[in-house]
Amino acid sequence: MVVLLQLLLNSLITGSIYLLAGTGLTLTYGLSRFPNFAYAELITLGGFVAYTLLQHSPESFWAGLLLAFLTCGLVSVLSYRLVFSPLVNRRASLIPLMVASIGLGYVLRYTMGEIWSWSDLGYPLVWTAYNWGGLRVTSLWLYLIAVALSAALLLHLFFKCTKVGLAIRAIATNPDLAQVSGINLERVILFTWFLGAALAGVAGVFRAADTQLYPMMGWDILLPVFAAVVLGGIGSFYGLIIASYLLGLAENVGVVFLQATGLSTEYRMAIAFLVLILVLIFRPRGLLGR
Amino acid sequence: MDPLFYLADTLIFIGIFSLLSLSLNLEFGLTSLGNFGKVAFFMAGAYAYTLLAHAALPPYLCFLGGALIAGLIGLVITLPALRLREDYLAIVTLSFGEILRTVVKAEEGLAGGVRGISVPAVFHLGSSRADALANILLTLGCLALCFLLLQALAHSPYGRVLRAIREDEVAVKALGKNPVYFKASVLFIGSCIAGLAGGIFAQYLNFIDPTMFLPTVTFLVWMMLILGGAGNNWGALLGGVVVELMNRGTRIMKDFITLPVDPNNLQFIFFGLLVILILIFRPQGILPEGPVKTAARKEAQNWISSL
Amino acid sequence: MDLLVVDRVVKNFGGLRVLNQASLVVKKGTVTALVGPNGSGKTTLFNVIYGLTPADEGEVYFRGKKITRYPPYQIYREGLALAFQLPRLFNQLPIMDNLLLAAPVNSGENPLRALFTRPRWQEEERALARQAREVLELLELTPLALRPAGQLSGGQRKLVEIGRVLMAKPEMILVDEPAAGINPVLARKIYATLKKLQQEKGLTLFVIEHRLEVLFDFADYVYLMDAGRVVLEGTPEEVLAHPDFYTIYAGESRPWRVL
Repeated sequence: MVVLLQLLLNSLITGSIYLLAGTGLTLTYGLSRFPNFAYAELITLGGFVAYTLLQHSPESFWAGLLLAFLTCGLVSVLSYRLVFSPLVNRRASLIPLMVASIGLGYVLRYTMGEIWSWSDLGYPLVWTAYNWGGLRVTSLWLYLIAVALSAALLLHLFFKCTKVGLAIRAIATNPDLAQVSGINLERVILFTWFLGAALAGVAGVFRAADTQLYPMMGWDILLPVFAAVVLGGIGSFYGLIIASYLLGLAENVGVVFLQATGLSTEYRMAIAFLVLILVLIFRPRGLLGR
Repeated sequence: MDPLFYLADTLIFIGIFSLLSLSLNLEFGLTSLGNFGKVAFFMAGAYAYTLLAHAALPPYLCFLGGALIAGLIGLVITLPALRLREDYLAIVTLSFGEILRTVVKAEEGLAGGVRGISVPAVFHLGSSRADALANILLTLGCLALCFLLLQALAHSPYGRVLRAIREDEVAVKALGKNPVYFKASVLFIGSCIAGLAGGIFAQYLNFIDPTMFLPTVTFLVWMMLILGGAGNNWGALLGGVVVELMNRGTRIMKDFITLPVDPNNLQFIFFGLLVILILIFRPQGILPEGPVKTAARKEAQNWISSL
Repeated sequence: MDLLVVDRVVKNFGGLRVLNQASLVVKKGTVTALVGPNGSGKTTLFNVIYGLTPADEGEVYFRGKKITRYPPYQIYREGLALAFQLPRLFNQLPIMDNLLLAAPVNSGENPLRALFTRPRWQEEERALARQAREVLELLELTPLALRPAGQLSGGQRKLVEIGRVLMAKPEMILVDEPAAGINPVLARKIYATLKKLQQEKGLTLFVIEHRLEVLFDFADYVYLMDAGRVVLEGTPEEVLAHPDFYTIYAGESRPWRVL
């Protein structure tokens, strides 16, 4: 029973990271019609800026989150203005946009490598560990789950109740609506690029706090995040919520299975790949995609 | 060091990377297929070659087998994505690059895992200088052969269909051609060539391990093609030469100049910026694409000049 | 002989029933016209026949063979070709290449043949080039043969689109408004050519046409569509003489049938 609960809790943790990291990816993918591979580096960047703040004042984890939120959002908006917007205006097609995003990823990743080095870093923080009848929990995990779920709730309210929110969701799942909705598309896009990347930065802080921080950190979780985005349906926020936690569950169940069969737990990532392929074969539009 | 070895190393790496960039030209340049997992098929070829060589097969069979195995893997992996929108192929291939490396790392019994595996050399000519020369000939010979093959394909009715697919798949379908068949054949051929490059790479280095097959290889190949000129085999070749020389240039610079920043970091920041700037300001690359040259074009040129 | 049979085809887009049990027959060797107000489902019907849009219900037969679930490339191989309403040319490729791509047989399109039987396909290419020249002469586009299709004017694009279908040498062609956007003189010429092909080579034509005046000269049989179904049919004289024809044609009849 406890084992099962632990499994569910672990799935919740994994899924929360994917949800935070994937929100911006799926929304900007839907709005701008291309996958921005530089999201990997935005995740990492969040981890690094919070790290620097924590170096100076180890008590300010929440300020670190906020800093990551703002920095990543800003970098994302800048990158849109400087890199992607000129390409879109030149009517660049899908693949050159993806290549540019990979190029941007390299610029960001190696800049981070230069600033913060290529070695593994850890946050100078200690989290309270609880043992609830055999169930291992840390305060960090509780924060992560709480932040992810409240971000999802806030976004839900935002999408349901505000004009901009409705527009984002409508256009992200159906780009033909951009013309008819009568809103300033450019501003909606910029807003989404900010918010999405900001949440990815938050995901990066939690990931770095939970494991280790290095310039490839974001890249190493990009595959499962993409798998969650495709499984949920590209552009679909609600699809992503379900998909993130489903994938989290699949991975954690998969790890138990791998251990039981004596296979390497390195294959954990292959589970996301398997999910990705199965979705493409059986339901390419994803759970809630159009 | 004997300058011959340095020359050999440079030429062989140019050859290997040009093969990769040529194969990407077939896929992306002509057909607009976004293969972001080039390194995976390169790696598949390298490991397949190595395992076949350890099974004591004659070298030419190892190269052929390595290429075919890489080609088949390329075909099977991409098939689910081929009837879908082009971005799905990008995500699948990119992911597969990560997965294949994971598998090789995890399966220690298969090919040494993280420790790597030695690769028997093909040439034992008695002196290392002779071996180096033989390796140059082998690599450049394969490059020349593949170049001619790809050039023949690009300037044939087949190449014309590929360019048509790049522009409008629905119209291609309406004209009686199944785009999935053509795309699958392109990925098979492209992966075979990447696999052959992998075989040459493994054979030349006599040792491979998973860290040699990081996603950066894929990025460098894309950079070569975009810089040289997508859609043009000469461009792919030129890109291969230029980027590999830049790569070496930084390595040499490292020994002579002390910079306040790590030259390796600087190089990749520069590469990333360069790719972005080319895409914005000269998307056609250094050598733009030319028309499909067949007998039909000559005929048309004749009537037009006689008008 | 009934060459093409459309049997009670239904197509819904969202809550909109665009085709509502549409049925018709095109006889071999005829020029059959499909007319109707905007939005009556003509182009959708063509797309369903050609396998570009899957039908929700109903069947399509060509030469007695059921082709309802066939993909377009297979339908093309059965001898049916479609000229799109909005030309879908390969803009970066020369007009010549656009035409060559429509050839029904070109052995060099097989990658292995492209490599190993070069002399043979080069000979085929020369023959196809001559065939393409005839088409270009007909359309008065010969001097532009090597221009990229993207540089053409709207009318010229339409011509190339029709030229592509002619290259295909099919048994039957579907043409969606062949004369839209083309000057009247050339439009007549296109129709005259199509008619000639019908008479000399037994080609069957199924044409969506907006201009009623051309029907009398060219069409053997006319179907009138409205709100997703065929409501009137007959020779041009019969149909145009029908008391309801102009009311329906002007699109003043029933609105969309909403599910």
